Amino acid sequence: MNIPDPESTAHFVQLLTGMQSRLYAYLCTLLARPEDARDALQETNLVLWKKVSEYDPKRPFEAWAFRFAHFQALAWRKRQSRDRLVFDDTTFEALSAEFPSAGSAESELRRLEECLGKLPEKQRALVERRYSGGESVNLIAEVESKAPNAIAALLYRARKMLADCMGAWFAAEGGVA
Amino acid sequence: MSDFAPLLEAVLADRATPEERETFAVQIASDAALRREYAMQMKLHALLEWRGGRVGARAMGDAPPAKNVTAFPKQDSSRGSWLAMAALFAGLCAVAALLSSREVKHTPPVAMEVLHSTGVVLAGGKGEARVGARLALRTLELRAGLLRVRFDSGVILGAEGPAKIELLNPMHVRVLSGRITADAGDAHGFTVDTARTRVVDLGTRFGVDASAMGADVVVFDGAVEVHGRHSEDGTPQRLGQGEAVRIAAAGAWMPIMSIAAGPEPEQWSTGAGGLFSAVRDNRRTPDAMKFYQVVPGGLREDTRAYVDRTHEWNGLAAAGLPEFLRGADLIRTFNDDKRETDLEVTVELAKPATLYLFLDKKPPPSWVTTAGFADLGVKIGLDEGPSPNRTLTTATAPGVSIERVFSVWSLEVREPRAVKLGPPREGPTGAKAMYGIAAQPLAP
Repeated sequence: MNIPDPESTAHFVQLLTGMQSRLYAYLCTLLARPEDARDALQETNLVLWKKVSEYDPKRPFEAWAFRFAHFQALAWRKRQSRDRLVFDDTTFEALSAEFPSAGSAESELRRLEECLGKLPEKQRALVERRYSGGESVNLIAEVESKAPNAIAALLYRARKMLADCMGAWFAAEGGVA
Repeated sequence: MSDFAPLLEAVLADRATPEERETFAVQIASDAALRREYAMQMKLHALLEWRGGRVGARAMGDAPPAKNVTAFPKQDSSRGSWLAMAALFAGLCAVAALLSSREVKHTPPVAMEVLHSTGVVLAGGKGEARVGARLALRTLELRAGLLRVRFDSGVILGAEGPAKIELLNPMHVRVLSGRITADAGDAHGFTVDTARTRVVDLGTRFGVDASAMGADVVVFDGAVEVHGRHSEDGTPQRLGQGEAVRIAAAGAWMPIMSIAAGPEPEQWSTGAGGLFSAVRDNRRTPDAMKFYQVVPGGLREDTRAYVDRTHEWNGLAAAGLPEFLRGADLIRTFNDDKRETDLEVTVELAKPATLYLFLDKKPPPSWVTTAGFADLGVKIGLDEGPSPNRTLTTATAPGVSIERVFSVWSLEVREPRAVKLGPPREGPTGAKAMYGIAAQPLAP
């Protein structure tokens, strides 16, 4: 794709749009701050868009995009003060190497939907309140007259159940270079 | 897990103390099993946030409610960065146009009159959108600004850039990206398509926000039919006044607990805003579609008091609302809740604030004084519009057409926290109207 024509550009955008959730999850894992991951994702998108002419469609798009996301996360770390960084360099690289880069974001989200449907009603409702309703753990705790730590533990268990259900989609299929 | 779960939750919410963050990092660095557990938990957290359509929304931070719920464009303080993101978004829009139906190229342009225009930049050199100007377009691509137009069908369509809308005919549009608000008046059947759904107006004012992550549909007046591509039985869902739904990219229908409103009708967004970071109650199930409306700075003369009525807050006399209440952040509640005896409304304050309650009866429910609210000895009025049993009309001035008097109670909330409010009445008698909720910032 040396000279991006409209059709190959459209294909590129489809590929990029289709893996946003996976790039976001990857950056969240590396940076441990979802707010920072959102900014790093935007920067990654921008870099990928600038590099559109360098992408070789014969090569897997996922690996190519993840490599740039990795560089952007590294660049992000360099710009931050030390007290803002959560992980040291070794942990950062270990997390990156263990993150499964292969797989389809669409099937992953579809599988997530199926697994949410299999959660017990109480857990599903809690997950929806936290993630769809955007309620904080403290707000849910106040409404339910429970300790925030109890709500945090319930959410932790719900996410664990979802991960168990998603199974193969979470198996390490090869890390990010 | 007992210690790790709350620690992880604090990290996810970005409210961990430096000491907690240090403990967290040491645990992850020294324990490979825990590192995998963290990676699994964080990945689920990220995917669930993505699924809930909250990634782009939160990325807008304290920006005005107007937003495009996508992770691609974000206004940055750096002009260069903003322009670069704008270029990226423009590129995506161009591709989206290329991918979109060719139907629009073969339809005649839709004629419209510009009713409102603030900072409007139209793509493709389509001319200036001055108030009163006539335009004829097949595609309305708004790069920036707020535009409100009236089609010859009588439908009023508003949008805030960036937004791209294909105009199929004066009664049918397709939102490719961005947020629109439509006031169809009596023109029943006005149809709005997105990639995920079709919304058919039944005589109403409603909004649609479309992005790569799905579509939000919000009804401010009247009712609409929502056709979901992935609905279980394929039948359209009817949404009434004060109801909203988020249809995620994967097809799931999700509740929207609250909507933040801006100064113009087009400036709404999902979530809360201003002093209120969240509001919810114990009555609405996850499948319920009613939403609270949060209006930062919204307490003014003749502002709507409830989500499900056209009643308005007013001062009792010509002098208007008390000075200290003017411009307060307002939560529009449901007047249908006025007889509930087990209602609990929880509001979360993002900043130190004075929280106000407007109560129509004395003595108030016992929880009011137990929670620490004090009667200020000040009263405001409710100008009632039509309701299921009465055919009243509202007026547009303070001290006129006041049907009900409310006393103002206050509570100082010195730290950001959630405050639980009780039911409007505690037995068969008591309040005849649901209470109002407002807040003003507390001076440091």
